[in-house]
Amino acid sequence: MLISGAEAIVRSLKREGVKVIFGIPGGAVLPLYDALYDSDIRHILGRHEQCVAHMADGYARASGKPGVCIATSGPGATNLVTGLATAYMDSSPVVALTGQVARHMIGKDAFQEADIIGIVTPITKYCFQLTSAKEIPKVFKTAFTIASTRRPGPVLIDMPVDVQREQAEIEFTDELDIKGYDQNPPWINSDKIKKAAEVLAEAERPLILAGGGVILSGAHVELLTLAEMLSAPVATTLMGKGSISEDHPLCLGMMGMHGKAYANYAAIECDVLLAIGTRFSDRTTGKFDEFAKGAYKIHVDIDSAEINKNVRVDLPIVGDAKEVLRSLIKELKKCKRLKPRNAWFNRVRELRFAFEQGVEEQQGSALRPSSVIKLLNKLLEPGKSIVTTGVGQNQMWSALHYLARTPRSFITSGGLGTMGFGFPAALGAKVACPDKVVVDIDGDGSFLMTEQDLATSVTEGIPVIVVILNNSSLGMVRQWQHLMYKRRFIAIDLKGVPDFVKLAHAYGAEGMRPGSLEELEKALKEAMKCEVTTVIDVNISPEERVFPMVLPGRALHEVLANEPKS
Amino acid sequence: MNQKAEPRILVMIVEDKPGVLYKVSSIIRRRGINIDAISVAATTEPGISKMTFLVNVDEETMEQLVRQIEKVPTVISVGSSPIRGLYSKELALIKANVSKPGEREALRALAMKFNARIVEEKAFTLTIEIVGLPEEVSNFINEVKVITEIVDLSRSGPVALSR
Ligand SMILES: Cc1cc2nc3c(=O)[nH]c(=O)nc-3n(C[C@H](O)[C@H](O)[C@H](O)COP(=O)(O)OP(=O)(O)OC[C@H]3O[C@@H](n4cnc5c(N)ncnc54)[C@H](O)[C@@H]3O)c2cc1C
Ligand SMILES: Cc1ncc(C[n+]2csc(CCOP(=O)(O)OP(=O)(O)O)c2C)c(N)n1
Repeated sequence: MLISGAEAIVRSLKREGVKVIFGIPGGAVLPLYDALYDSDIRHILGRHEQCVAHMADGYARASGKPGVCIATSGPGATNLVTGLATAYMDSSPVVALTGQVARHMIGKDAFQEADIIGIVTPITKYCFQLTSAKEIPKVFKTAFTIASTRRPGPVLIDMPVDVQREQAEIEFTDELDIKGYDQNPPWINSDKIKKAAEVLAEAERPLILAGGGVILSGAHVELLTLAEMLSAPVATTLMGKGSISEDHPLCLGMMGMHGKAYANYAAIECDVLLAIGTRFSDRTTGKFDEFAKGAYKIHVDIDSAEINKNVRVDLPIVGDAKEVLRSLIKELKKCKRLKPRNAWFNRVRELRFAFEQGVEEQQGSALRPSSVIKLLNKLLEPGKSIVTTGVGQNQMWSALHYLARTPRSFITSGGLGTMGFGFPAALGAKVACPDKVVVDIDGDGSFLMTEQDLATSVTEGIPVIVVILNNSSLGMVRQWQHLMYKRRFIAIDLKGVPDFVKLAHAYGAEGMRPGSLEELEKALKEAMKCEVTTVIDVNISPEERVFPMVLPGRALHEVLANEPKS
Repeated sequence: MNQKAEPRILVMIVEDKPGVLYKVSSIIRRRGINIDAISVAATTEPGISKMTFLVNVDEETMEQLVRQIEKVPTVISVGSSPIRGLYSKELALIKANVSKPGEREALRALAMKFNARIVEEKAFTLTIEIVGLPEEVSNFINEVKVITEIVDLSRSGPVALSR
């Protein structure tokens, strides 16, 4: 039977289990939209293609399944760029479908032609351009496989409009169209597992560093088992937040530039570091050469290109985190008795205690970033809530104070640091998990970059809660100017514009401006019951700064635990 | 680890698909590395090509490049080696001006010395073909320049096989 390319695309999407697509139409994708008309795939109409990509990304991060977005050719496609780069840096499986001018028009600077593959090649895992309707099933199968296996990442399929219209006999297969790609996790070298087990069993002061790869691999149970077996404390990267419940006594929280000072000190004092599913970003390690200098380093990662990229390690193990951890646990079980490591445990506790002593406890009901987020810890039920963030101070306060207790419950733009990510990502997460409460902890600057999708949230019925930590400034930039540029503040004052409560109302969303912690608690409880999105504008002082902080280029031990006295 | 930059060959077996050269070269370009020579040619298997790049980098950078290129889905395999450890050859075609007396004879003698072949003789030009180690080819070209002016030159870039 003859079917159109567009129908084949929809059939292929259904074969991949796609239930929802985020998109914005245009001339070059109209055949596809016409085919979607007859399908039961839910289409969510966004208001900006950047948001559509972030929504697909948020959906993917919350669910672990690929998120799909559509944009038309030219400006629609180029608007996706920031979203794809964000997904690429954080290894998120997004499949982007873009319209393209008809095959015979490509290269002629046709109306709304953009060489989108030329543009996104460096920020995607792979790209395809359809050359005929017949190849659609194979291309889609391959695209979804590449996006979601091994180290996940965004994939783009460019679809010339005439291919969408082309009528052809189309055969649906599960065959892949790629020779240089193995979708199975790498084979694990058992000698290395033995060696790792030996080293870990003998360690006096072992430390685990868990990254985003633990969450991507679904290895949180194994991580906990191993940590408990070894009585090893676990620090995480920003992306690893939630890989271990942050109220577990072994969890130290985030390490790095804005990490907990005691997590950083633990990295300096440990004798064996087991890093799992992390790419040793400069934000995690500080100065590369100084990072965990004396420690024997074991690095577990599915991507061999991460080995020795930033930090030289003693024992690299290339493999899927879950598989490696399972083998390690099995190997360690053979050891007669594992050391209790009381001295190390006490030392870490001491570091933690010393740090917590230094932090002034907040008094009264003033709205301060830490108290706002600690209130969220109280109100949000583990396993039933997801937090997303903007970028900047709001993000780092969330990283420091929000207790992620389950994997995939903390969603943030870590690698690219994309302002504007938090809100659309929250919408995507809510679509993936409609039964969860989704809260976007955002900055006023970040939220303003994508707030127009309040329209999407209201009209498509996707209620989330936006808590704006409103310091009326580009706070993180202000903090850098304060600490490193002698308080010569420039281009950071947002001047309290707009009125976010009125803005919310203009879109038909709820808006509130609580004046105290008690009012905030009331507002949050109301928002959780509310059927539309609620924007809660929390005014905080622009003088609030994020500490601890390791200044850029410095080593972790140079961490400033608190505001330097000056 | 050898931190010294030296000419290294990067050999990739790839699927013959649009974009593969672009993706691979963008991984190299991103680090600001110049590709000194490229050759792409068919292999014995249909749909599969061999790409050979010549780059001047240290060992650590090369190791990173190899691992990142390995990840490209259309790249089937990647290998690298300092050019000195390989059996490598390059072909060059050189058209030289011989309008002045004595130049033709001098070039003939030079070609003989380098085992190069004269492939075309015209009234005012001579075209020479030379196959040899890349540095031999370079030396030959330099010596031609001493004798006369080169009108046109085409070098294939190195092709290489492990010893
Ligand atoms: C303002 C700001 C401040 C920041 N401050 C900090 C900070 O203080 N500390 C910090 O840590 N980060 C911080 N970040 C985030 C930082 O930029 C990086 O995004 C983050 O550190 C990367 O986390 P990751 O190493 O876990 O790697 P990810 O980017 O999450 O990458 C995942 C890793 O796991 C591997 N992997 C994937 N799948 C698997 C699998 N199945 N099995 C095994 N391995 C797998 C991948 O190959 C990759 O190496 C900050 C970001 C911003 C914007
Ligand atoms: C798209 C984008 N532009 C610029 C930056 C640089 N930047 C990093 S943090 C920041 C300020 C963020 O301000 P806001 O969202 O209000 O958050 P705050 O730091 O005040 O919590 C800026 C401008 C960025 N990360 N992303």
